[in-house]
Amino acid sequence: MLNIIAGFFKPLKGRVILDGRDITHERCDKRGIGVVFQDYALFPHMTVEGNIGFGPRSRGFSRKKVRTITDDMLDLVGLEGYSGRSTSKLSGGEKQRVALARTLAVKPKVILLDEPLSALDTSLRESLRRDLKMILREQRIITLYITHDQSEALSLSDRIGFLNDGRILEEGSPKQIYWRPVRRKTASFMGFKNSVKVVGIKGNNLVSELGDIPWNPDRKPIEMMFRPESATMEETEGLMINGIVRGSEYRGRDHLLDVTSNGIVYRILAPPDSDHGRGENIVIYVPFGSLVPIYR
Amino acid sequence: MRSPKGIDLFDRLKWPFSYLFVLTFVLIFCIYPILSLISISLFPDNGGFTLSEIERVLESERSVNIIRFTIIQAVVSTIVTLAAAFPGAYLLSRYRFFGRSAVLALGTVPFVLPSLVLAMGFISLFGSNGTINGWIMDINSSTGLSIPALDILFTKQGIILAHIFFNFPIALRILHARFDRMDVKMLLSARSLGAGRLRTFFLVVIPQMRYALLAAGSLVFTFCLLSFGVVLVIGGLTNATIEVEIYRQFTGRLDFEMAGSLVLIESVLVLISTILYIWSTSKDGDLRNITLGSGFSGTEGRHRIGLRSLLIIVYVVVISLLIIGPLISVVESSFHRYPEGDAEYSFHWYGSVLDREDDPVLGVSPFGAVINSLLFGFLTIIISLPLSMITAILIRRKHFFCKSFLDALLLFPLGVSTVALGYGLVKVYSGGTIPLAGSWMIVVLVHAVIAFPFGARSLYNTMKDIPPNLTLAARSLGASRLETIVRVYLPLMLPGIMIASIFAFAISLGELGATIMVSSPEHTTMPVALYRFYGNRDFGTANAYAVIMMLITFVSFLILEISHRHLIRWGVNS
Repeated sequence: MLNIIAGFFKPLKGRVILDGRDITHERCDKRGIGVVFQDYALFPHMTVEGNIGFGPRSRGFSRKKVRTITDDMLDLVGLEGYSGRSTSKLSGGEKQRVALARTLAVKPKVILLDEPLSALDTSLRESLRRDLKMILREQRIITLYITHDQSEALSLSDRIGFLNDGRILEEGSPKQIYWRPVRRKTASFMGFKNSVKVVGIKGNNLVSELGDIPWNPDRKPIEMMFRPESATMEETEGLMINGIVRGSEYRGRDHLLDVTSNGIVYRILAPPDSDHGRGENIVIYVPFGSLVPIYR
Repeated sequence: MRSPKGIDLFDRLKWPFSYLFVLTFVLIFCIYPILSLISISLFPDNGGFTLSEIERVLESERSVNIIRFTIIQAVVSTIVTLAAAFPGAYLLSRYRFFGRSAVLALGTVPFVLPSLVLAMGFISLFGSNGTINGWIMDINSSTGLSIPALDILFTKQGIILAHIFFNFPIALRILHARFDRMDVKMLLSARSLGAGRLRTFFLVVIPQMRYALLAAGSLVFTFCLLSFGVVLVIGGLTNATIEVEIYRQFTGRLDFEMAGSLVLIESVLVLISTILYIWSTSKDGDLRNITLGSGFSGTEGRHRIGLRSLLIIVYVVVISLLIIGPLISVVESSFHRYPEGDAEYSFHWYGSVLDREDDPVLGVSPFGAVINSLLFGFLTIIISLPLSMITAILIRRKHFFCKSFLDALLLFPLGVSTVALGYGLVKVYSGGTIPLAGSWMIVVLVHAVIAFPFGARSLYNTMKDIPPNLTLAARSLGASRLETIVRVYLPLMLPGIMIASIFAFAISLGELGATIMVSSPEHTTMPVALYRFYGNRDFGTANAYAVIMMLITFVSFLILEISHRHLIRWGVNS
């Protein structure tokens, strides 16, 4: 999809529209869509300055103008004084910054970032994520950010599109996607590990395999999903699961329990000080408010 | 489902046309001339198809002996070469020792040097008046012993010995590269599972190396079949292989039907060993990445200072002497003169090479041959480079309906008898619509045909190391197709272009078989001149030519090495 938007692939069908203009058949060098590649794709035979100045030079800008743009960009990404360096001597984070600066230097209308942080180690990833957000905000450029990382997606974006098999399954604000996903795959990716089948509607209640759920239904969801951390051992108003502990994994801040009930496995978080052995009978409550309806 | 079409930097290069272009070139200047020679044998006197000419060859005792000797020398040379290279390849890939990189660098020498230079070196070292015999004589006279003098010149043993010497580095290169890719952990786990050294060797090492051995063996075998200059010079008049006999038939005896039959027989032998080579490389994925043009890989071996050091030292010294010895010897001989029986050092022979007076034997001045060789070398680069480039781009394409055919085509000039190619070109293109025979163009064209597949290989290797994202990035930054090629693609291709150019130059510089057939006297090149002087028993001048060729090759590879260092500093290929 990124290749099609950038113009590297011609789509078999469908169109690419930018600002209301059909750019499906526009050449990739005329589109004004910047790409930051996962492996940065810096030109190894050029210096940092040569890389950042590549786009402006292609536009036919004067040497002086190219230089100004390059310096501005280096400034922006916090790499002042790096202009003469060879790209092969840079660290991963620095390469990433140069790649970003190179793309921003041509003032693209849209910038595509293809998992830009995936090649970096965790601590660097988080600090660069913050910088990236700041720079992109400041530049006010529409950004399409591709990632497999849930927290990257949530923290960076204004809108999230959940892609599956080349289709957008679900789209919405980070909060919407995190708290109220409507598709099974989205929900499961966002941490809703447990599902409760909905059997039917009875008045103002949904009938589920674990009992009735008070609901003002406009249409019938196929199932309700909840997160492991929503479940509790204390009695609350909600669904009750009476099951047997099949497995327990101690994870420091909590226990992750596998609880089976009627042949269905639920993943439940228990407090760190709790102690549930295998084969133990256990009663769990899932508050109605933490259930999310899944329609497809 | 159809997959979407990606943009490609070279999609303006309409591939059916470029494919046709390369194919036509190979067809016109390589395949057709060869086929036309073979047809002399199969359709004599423009009559119907007959095998009687082949039968005539097989009934003649002389030609049967030649065919038998050709096969025997190739088999023996191959086996000894493999046996000598195998332990060396193992040592070089497993151990690090002083002089290791020097040995690796030396290993490329016989491959890039013109074969005649090595043949001259071989003669001046082992010949009857050679360095070693000189020593033997000295020892005999000072100690009273009578060690028999070595006489390998004009003998069958001499040919085999020379072939082992020439092909040793090729075998070493292939086997070493394959050893380098062998996982040491596999050997260690075999040992930890209770297998002894021998069991490990026979059950783990040999099975893994068998395709490499087969590939190296079939390649060496092919080279021994097609070897021309070496056999011509060392074998003398009495000992010939098929290739030399083809030359004699075409130039002296003028029995064209016999020559055509010999071309056919040789082609069949080459075809068999080429198929064996292709089969064995296709069986072993690690072999496919090993190319003849590339240098030795720099994989670090293990440090080892122990009992085996002595063995290593002996091996290294012997190999180095074997490779350097002839070269030093030829340089020394080129300064030797015997005016009154006693040796004296002089520049006399270089004087005769630099002579600008027309030489009646050559048809050109001796110095003119040097100039011719240099000119043809540069022209060969100019003609072969675009062909190599287009071919490399074509091989690079993923979907290709007869890609394997093109791959095979690239091996074609490797497996072609250069003498037959040369004669075929003269036969087909003298007069008629394309009167090339006798012109300088035919020399350049035949050199380009032989050289361009090598270039295509090295360009292809560089090409596949360029990440496609780089050109996409350039395009998305607003660079046009042309701009991307000029500013990104070509600079990144430069190492490959350099290798392809230098190899084209080196091949042109050293080519004898085809050149001797196609070149008219005024286009005599250095190898041809060297052979003419050698034939006139003017060994001094021949040696001087050899040294000059050696020097030119050395300088051109020095240029390659230096430019490579610069390019590697860019991070290209790293």
